[in-house]
Amino acid sequence: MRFTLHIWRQENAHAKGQFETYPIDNISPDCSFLEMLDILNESLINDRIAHPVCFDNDCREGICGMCGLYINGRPHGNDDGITTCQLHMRKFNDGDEIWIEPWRAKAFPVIRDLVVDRSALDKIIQAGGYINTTTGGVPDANAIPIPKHVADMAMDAAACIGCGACVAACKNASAMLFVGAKVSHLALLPQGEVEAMDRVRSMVEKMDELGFGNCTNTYACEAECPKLIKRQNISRLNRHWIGSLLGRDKK
Amino acid sequence: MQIIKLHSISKKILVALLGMFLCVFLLFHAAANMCILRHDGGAWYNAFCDFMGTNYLVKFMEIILLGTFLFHIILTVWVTIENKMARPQGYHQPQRSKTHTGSKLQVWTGILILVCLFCHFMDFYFVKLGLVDGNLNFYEQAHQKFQITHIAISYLVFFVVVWFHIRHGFAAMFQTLGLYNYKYGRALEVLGKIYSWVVCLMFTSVVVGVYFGF
Ligand code: HEM
Ligand code: SF4
Ligand code: FES
Repeated sequence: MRFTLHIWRQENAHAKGQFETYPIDNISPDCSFLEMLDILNESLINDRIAHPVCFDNDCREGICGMCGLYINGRPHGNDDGITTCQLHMRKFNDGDEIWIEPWRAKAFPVIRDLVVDRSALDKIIQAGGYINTTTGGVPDANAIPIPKHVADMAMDAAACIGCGACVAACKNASAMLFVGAKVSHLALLPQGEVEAMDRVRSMVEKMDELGFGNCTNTYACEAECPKLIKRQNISRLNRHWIGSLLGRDKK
Repeated sequence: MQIIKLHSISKKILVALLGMFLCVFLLFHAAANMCILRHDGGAWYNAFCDFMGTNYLVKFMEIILLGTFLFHIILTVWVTIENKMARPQGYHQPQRSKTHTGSKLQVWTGILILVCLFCHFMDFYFVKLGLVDGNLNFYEQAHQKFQITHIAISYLVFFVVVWFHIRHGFAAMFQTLGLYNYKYGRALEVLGKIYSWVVCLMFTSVVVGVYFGF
């Protein structure tokens, strides 16, 4: 297959970037998107055309959340429920023009080319996305009864890999789906419920401080999340926030 | 710089609560307007307007309502500006994610509502306040205005804009208030559809009814 790639190139965080165009040929339809970029980089290096294109990746099997490219107007490209590393070239047509951009958000500054600094998401986790106790050994499965549907909701929320596609997709660069997922998977289970009110406060305060936008219920996040995290988690986040405003009883 | 500290979600919750009050008002307003369709020379409608014009609780609520509009607008404009600032550099490619278009239109439909509302006030509310000339008998005033074709059409446009705004706003309001869950989510969407259609059709029926002299 043949493609024309338009890739965002930017020397460093302070440089002014621009798109560069690279034609590429002889790509197998079974090639993954990142493998295609590897092939491009090999030729850029071997032919001494330019520095290789920088992009984030690690596991290449959709579990680590490192990869993330904005491809033709969609985070993780034109498919649902996948990460960029799970995107394959057969999803494109021969001869397509492909525009590749980094995530865009004030909270995600570009480091180089397509690599952005997503440590803002880590800072939100550090603000409260944990349980403040040593949990000890694994208790018997029947020691703490948890209804199946609650366990399922918690598990679905816990699937978030922190890729930031929700922020990238949102017209407001809001991190509400991410925070909603992180608040939910802990608050739904008895071990996490204890600190739920304090957790939601500190995580939302951090989110605001880092310059993410406000949710306006556009749900682009839900449409683009590779782990199919649902907007119900954002509503739960709102609910817990109201709870923390009204019901946080402290001496 | 933040003059008043209001967290993102708190702002949205206030917008939703104010929006909810506006939705209640809108239904009430639409229901009252149905009296215009009675062939009673305005007996019911004018009695209603008379009550609205003289009762002190209503006068108090009028101030609350204007304040609600004001705060709804201030907060949403504030949110919109912050949201623009959250992405200083935009994308080159247009967004192709599957989203609710209603949400993107919300600011614009909101501003259009404001413009239409001003014109609407010129026809009725400002007349009541004595700021512009007009017939104080609102039953007759409505008949005079709605029989002029371009005025009738602009009111219909107004209702379409309102429809767009609450079509998205209604379910969004519950989402923001934390009431959209796996169990009732779908039901809320349907309720939003019903509400926006019913309210806008009620308003429309009055304008269309008067125009064609039903
Ligand atoms: C008929 C009167 C109005 C009603 C019933 C109404 C109702 C609502 C509702 C229910 C919402 C959803 C709140 C949420 O997202 O949680 C909303 C949002 C919004 N309204 Fe209104 N509204 C009215 C007038 C206006 C006006 C005059 C403006 C003027 C600018 C406006 C601007 C907005 C904006 C920008 C949003 C989106 C806010 C966001 O999603 O963050 N509205 N409205
Ligand atoms: S909620 Fe989905 S899109 Fe957002 S960071 Fe988590 S996995 Fe990525
Ligand atoms: S590289 Fe790990 S999710 Fe794509």
